[in-house]
Amino acid sequence: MELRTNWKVLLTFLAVVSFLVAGMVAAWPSMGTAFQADALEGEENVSVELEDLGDTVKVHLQWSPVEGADNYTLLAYPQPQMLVPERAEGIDTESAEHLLEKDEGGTPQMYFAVVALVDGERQLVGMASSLERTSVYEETFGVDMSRVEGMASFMWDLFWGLLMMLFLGYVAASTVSRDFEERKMDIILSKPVSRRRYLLEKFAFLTAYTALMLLVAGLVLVGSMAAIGELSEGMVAPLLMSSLLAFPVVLLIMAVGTLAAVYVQDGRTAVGLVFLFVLLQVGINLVASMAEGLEHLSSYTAMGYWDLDAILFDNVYSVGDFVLIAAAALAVLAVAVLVFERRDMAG
Amino acid sequence: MTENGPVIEIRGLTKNYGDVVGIKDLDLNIHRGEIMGFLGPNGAGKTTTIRTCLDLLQKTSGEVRIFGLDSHHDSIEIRRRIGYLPGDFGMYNDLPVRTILRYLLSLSGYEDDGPMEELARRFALDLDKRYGSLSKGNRQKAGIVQAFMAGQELIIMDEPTAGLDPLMQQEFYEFLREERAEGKTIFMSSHILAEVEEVCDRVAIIRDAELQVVERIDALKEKMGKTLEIEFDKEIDPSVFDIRGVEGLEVDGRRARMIIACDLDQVVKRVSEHNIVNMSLETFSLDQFFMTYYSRPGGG
Repeated sequence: MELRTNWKVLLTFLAVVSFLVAGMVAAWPSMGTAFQADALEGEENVSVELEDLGDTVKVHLQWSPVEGADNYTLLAYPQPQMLVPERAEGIDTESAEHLLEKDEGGTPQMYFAVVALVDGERQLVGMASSLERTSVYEETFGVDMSRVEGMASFMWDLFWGLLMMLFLGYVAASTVSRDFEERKMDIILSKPVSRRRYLLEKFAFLTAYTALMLLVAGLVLVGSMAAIGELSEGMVAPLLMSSLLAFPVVLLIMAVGTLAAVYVQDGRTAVGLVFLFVLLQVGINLVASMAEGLEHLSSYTAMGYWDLDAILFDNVYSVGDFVLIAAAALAVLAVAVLVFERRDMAG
Repeated sequence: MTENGPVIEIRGLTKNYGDVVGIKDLDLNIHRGEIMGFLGPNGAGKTTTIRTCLDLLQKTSGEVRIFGLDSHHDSIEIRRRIGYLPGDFGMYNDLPVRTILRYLLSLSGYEDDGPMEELARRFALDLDKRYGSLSKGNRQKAGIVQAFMAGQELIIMDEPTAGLDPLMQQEFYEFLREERAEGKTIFMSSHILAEVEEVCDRVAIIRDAELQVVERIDALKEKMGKTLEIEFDKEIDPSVFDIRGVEGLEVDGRRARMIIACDLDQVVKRVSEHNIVNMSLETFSLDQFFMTYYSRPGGG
């Protein structure tokens, strides 16, 4: 009955998912340059060499001499837009050294600019950076969008991973609460159908749909990457897995939606609760990914275990984590069954 | 359950919604092969009683046994044997009625859709139409068909004729009588008295969450007595009618109107001391009785 009453919506969503994945992949190469780092002004005039000193790194900078220059000034700052004087004016040679303290990631990112004083006027010689430049996207989202993996990760994370979770949470919450709202529950439950069977059959249907949708999304992702000639053999498994491993997370969201629906027996409230659950997780993960020192927060959320970077870039994932989330989903579903069996049916 | 025991046996049934009393300490037996009417104004507790019997609501206290089985623990087994027509129901709007009914039939574990087709023909219900496109009356017919189509031995209905046109109502009453003749037991709520009078064997009247009376319709009619209206030549003191069995007294100057549920002789003898200008005696209808019942505080 679920299929007969919901097939239009579910099929439409499957089509939307396929279209969005394929469309995103198709548009990706033309955006390629946008994902590459901008060149620094005059970077060809300044060369950089790093010397590892243990806890610190010594940066040797050397630049081409400027004719008529009285002296040079070196500016430095972790971001290229805000360089400040690093050293008093008056470097007489065409080279300088700069000491950097290492941080967790090793050598920190530091930008340099060399300015020459010619006839009392300042003139930029060139800019340099301690590390290879990353694009604005990479700085913001932490993934290299010029790579296939980065693109896939970006798409899942910020685009329709969220869409899919909200949609399936909505479907799970509303498929049960609609039976209340449309006054079907009295007739259905007057037949010899236990409440447990009613709920589990609905959930089984949604589970099958989710598995199908994730498989289709994964295959479309791999297929469209192949179609634009960007698919290397080693990427097939990670790309497919990036989709399939969302399965237990979605399962948990649907179980929460089901629980909300049987508890409040009202569609709007139930959908609101499951959306809150999804957005809370997204929010926590966003904070964890952006704020330093709060990375551990993401491990408190189911979504945190759907670690796309690990899956896509390193092809690693913990089967145990996913079994754990699937088990949590089933536990929530079991609670939903218990609640449903004990509650008055809104009439 | 013995074959002669009640099909539905309700003992001290109470259902509270938080602080609100839904039904209070209700006792009721419904026997095999009878049509039991369940009368009461809106909000009296009819639907609560029915939905508690069906285990859609959890009872607060008391006991409901259907076919001798516990209404909660043996709910599935009970539901195999009953048909239910809710007072307010919906079905799948996008699907043809036939598809929906077949699905509901399959939930009952019943495969023969012959009775379903036959019932639909009898009540002129087009099974090929989408449920959502049906009129209120036709939706009600679909509800009736689903309650009876699996040939259940007990049918529970909450206001079954709501939305049916008068001709269809008559057809439905006729159908109920046939079902009873086949030994089916029917428990139906209603607020239409004529309906209960016409089709039911017994009636249970509920008001303010409490059962007021359970009686055979014919016995009730006998008990009901008559309406007596007397016009005197001058104003009359109401205490004249202080007689056991005189109820619902209304005195308006020279006129008095009352319900006589006792020997008429007593009243006539008492009023004969006064000059009577006019007097009329009407047979009381169930409808009036019902209204009287509701207007009396505590229900008498």
